[in-house]
Amino acid sequence: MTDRVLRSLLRPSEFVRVILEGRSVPRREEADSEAKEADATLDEKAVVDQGEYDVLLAVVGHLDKVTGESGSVFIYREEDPSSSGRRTLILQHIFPIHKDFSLGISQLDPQNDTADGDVPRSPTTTLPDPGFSMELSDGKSVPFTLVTYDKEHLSTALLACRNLREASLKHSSDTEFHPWLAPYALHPSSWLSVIPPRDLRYSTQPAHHRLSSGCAGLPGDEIADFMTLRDEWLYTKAQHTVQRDPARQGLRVRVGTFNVNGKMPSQDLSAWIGGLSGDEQVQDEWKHLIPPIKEISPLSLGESGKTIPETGPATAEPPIHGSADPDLFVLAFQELDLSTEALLYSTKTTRKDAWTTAVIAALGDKGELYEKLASKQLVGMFLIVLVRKELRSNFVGARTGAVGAGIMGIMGNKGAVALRLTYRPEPTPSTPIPIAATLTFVNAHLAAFDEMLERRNGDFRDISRRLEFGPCAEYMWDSPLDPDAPSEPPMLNIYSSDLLVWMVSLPTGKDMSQIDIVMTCNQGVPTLLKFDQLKSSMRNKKAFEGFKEHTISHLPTYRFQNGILTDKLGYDMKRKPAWTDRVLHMTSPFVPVHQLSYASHPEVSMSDHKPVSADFIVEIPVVDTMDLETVANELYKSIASIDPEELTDMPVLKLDETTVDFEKVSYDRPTSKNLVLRNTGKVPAAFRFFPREIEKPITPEWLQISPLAGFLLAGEDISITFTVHVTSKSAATLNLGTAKLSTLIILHTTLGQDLFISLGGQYESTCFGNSLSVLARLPGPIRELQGEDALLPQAQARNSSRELMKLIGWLMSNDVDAVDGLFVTPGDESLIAQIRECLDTNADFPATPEGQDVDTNLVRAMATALLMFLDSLPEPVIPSHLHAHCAGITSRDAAYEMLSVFPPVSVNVWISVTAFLHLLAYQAEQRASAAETKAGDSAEEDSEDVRTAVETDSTPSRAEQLASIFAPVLLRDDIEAAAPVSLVDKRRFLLYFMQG
Amino acid sequence: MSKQLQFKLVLLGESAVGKSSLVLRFVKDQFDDYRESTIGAAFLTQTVALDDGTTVKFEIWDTAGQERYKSLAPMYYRNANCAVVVYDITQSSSLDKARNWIRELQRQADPSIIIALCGNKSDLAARRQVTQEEAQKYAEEEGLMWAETSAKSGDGVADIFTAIAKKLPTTAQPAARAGAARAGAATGRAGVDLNKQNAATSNDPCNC
Repeated sequence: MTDRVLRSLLRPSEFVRVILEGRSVPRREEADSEAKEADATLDEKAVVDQGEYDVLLAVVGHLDKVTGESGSVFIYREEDPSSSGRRTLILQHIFPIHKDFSLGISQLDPQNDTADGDVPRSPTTTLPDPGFSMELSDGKSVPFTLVTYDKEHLSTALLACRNLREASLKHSSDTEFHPWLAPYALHPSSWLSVIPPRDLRYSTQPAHHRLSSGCAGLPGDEIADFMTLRDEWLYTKAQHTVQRDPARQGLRVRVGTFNVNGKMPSQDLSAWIGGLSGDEQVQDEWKHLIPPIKEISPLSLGESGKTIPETGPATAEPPIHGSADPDLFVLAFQELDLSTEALLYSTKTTRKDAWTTAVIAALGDKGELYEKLASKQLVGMFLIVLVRKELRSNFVGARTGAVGAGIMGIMGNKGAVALRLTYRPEPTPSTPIPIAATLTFVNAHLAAFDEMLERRNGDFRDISRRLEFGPCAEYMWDSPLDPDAPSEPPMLNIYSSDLLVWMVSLPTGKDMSQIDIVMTCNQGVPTLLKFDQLKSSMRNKKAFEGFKEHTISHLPTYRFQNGILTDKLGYDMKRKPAWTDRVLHMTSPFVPVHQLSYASHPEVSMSDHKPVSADFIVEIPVVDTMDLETVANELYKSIASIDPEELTDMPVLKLDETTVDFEKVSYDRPTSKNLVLRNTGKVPAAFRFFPREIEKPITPEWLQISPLAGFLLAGEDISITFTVHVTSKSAATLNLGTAKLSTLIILHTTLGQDLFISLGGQYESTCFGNSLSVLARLPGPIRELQGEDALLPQAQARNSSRELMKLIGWLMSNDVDAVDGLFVTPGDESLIAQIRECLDTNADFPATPEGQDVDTNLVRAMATALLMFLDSLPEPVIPSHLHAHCAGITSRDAAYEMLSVFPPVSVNVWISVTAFLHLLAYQAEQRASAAETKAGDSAEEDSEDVRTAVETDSTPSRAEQLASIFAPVLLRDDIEAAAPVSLVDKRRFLLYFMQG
Repeated sequence: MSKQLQFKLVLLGESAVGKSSLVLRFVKDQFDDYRESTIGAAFLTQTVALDDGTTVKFEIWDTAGQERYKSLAPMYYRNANCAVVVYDITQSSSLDKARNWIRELQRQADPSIIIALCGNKSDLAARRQVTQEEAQKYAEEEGLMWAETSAKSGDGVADIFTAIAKKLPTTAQPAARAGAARAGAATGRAGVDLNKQNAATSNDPCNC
């Protein structure tokens, strides 16, 4: 018992040689020798009462690969267990065992033994066994004396001390404190390496989200804000200091999720599990690391990840283990058992065992390289981790958790199981005790059915809250940041981790958007999603906030059925296909994660779901515990004495400039400027930006500030970045001059004064971001417009936007359809800006030299400019309220009748755009039929690169492709709308105007 | 039994009339010949003891006088119990600015706000452009308190703040909320606790 408590107070690199119980003997001010004679006068008695307490003496060793073994004696004070109900040890003294260390022992004279005290000793005083007095000294500080009756351990302790002293003499003769003792000696309770990993929702979110609400002239809870920012500073600064350029160990993790629909394994799973043999594509991806995920789709349930596959260049590979095989397999199964009994008892292990066997079998010859590390089952949910055998010893302390969210909120038919693994990197000479990284994996099965969206989001939150591990005795230290925290082993939630991966199965039925994506994928035209992704990430932050999901480039994984009505891809016609099986992750800024693949495996067809896999490389920093502790302690010391409630001086912050002039600012061209904020006062200072009113935005739409809050020691400074970015959201009023690109920003010094910063620039008006009705009333190029009043009266308005006509006119008069990837490959940004400038000033477009083919890049830029122009309209070409009506139309005549309902400007724009699209589609057809007759019988050989049936069977016509691109722009979804209108229906409506 | 009351006071007035110097004299009894122009809003506190044993704690917001920051002033005078509008007796234009501030306060600030008009730099009487009679007459018409002060010599500074303290309602609950978190007075404490609760909830990383 004692042993266990004590070990929990030591770092893993230390070991306990011997423990001895005793009682301290207080020192007298007078000569030491006299004190030992213990003539118990009344005065002395008083001293004794004050200074006597139960102690635990521990001889602790530490093994260092470089300097060998060294040791120290730790004296712990034992708190009375009756007061707190458990045993508490407080470190009182440290005596490093080095040259000057001494341990003197003398037998107490039984007569003089002050037996009237409550010295722990043998039950009766009649026993002849006398106590021993031990005096410890390190040659510098005051010696410490204790009395013990534990004769048995005493000799062991003596021997251990002698050995450790000899060992330390061998390596060095100095009497310095052993470096490994430093953290024990300083602020043991401030150890960053022994406090649990920070909540990922904290570390992935800037600190200003956690401050009290306040505004100019009405600060909120200043003290709390000061503490919050101080603690944030301490944590991130310590991490940044030690992690400036850490060595990293790459850990390859292959994650899989499979909703097996109650089936037993009946097929080879190697396609899903492995990727080890034969799967060229995956092998290839292993070699070329996909660059850090650019497109982030915080998965909103019911919304699918609307991102486009990035085909960027491969970046440098991080150092990873030699072989490309995963180090860790993390496999999640759902609906392992659908029987009713399974809900009540999950005693049967047959299914679990069968799937485990199938998994190992799927590894083939490589199966023997792995062993099972941990697994957890709750009814139908099963999570298993296999680890490469040679890494087995690096994983310590796997913990499991499970929570039911099914019937009555607790039954296990829905819910989640989780595993928490701690990976300790291999020590190196410079990092003898590397800090461990925590990896948490969750396998969740959420509520089905469409109407359950809310319920499902609720389940997510519920699981997030209830899924816990522990109690985790390895985190016994109190957090220095929260001295009031109870000092008992904490329960840790899934977010207290360095990496959190969610594998989730969320059966759905008929979400509008989902089938649309199928069509899109089918046609290989995912680009249009680009125009939607901002909105989709804004919409619905009710679940999985802060998570990342890799771009989806595979087909929906649900619902497949054999024997019933299916379409040609095997999807159940009654259920709209959906991506129900997902892998999401969240990671600490200090543990970078690269996702190498995200794929489904249609070869495995036994279930109504397809299995999904994802490969990750987790770059675990190799940082020594001691380095972190030393840095953290230094930082802690610099602020420990600062009590914000009793500040001696007022915090003072100064900016190097109080005005920021952005000069010329163009639409959609972000520009940044920095100011330096310096703490010129005598005390640390916290700062934050304030809005003018409580809960209002701090900056106008076109301005971003980073960071929005921070903490500076006296003399420190920080660079604050102000970025102006005018987008279609803020352009409308700026273009007309009704709003100026100018603002005052309030920087508040916590417990101090407010600083004002005036920011502004000369905004260059653009035709982008204006409503069609404004564009039609422009008397000339928008750059020359003198305010809103200079617009033409409604009666004199043009019938369309001149700028749009110019764009379409150019595109129609150049042979643009010959250009590959038109509207799909984005145009060059600076060219687009140049085109926009021409539209804004009524200048001529860049000319193509006489006799030359028009530049491909220019065509792409023109095409992109057209899409961006249409997308920038505050209200889409067809007003949002008409979308549902348009989507319901099923005949060409009815579609044309809709024109009478459109606003007049919309009609003209609609007709111009659709006429242009019609022309493009027509040209493509002509060319295709020409090519067909020309190519004749040689065509067969060329089409051999057909990879899946998908692409050949359903190659869409050019008109369909174009409609897929333009429908979501011309009939852009209203972000606020409750239910988005189906893209397929919108596309059908558009096609009526494009076909003859 | 002595009472402690707490009030929010805001200083307004044209740039360079000596608002910050006035506060510095009142709070720390100091004077700097060369003070940087205030670009922002400084917060200070000072307590005044009245004859009847009541102590009045002023939470003073000293705001930037420059024209371009004018739009931010309402953030600081909202909820203020009293305002000291300062002009420079050697600049007649500064009294015009003071009139504008007073009009704005009368229109937009708390109707019960006590406004004091304060002619600073009385040590420079030789260069006087604003007569005492003119200012006093205006103050009487508008029902304002009025005094001349010199932040440099200290003349009249304590007097004007004491006079305001006396005029403030001694029974009514002060409306001041700003800076309550750092105030020890019982009146401010409710604000603290409320805020603490807010902070606690927003600290919870789980927004469930």
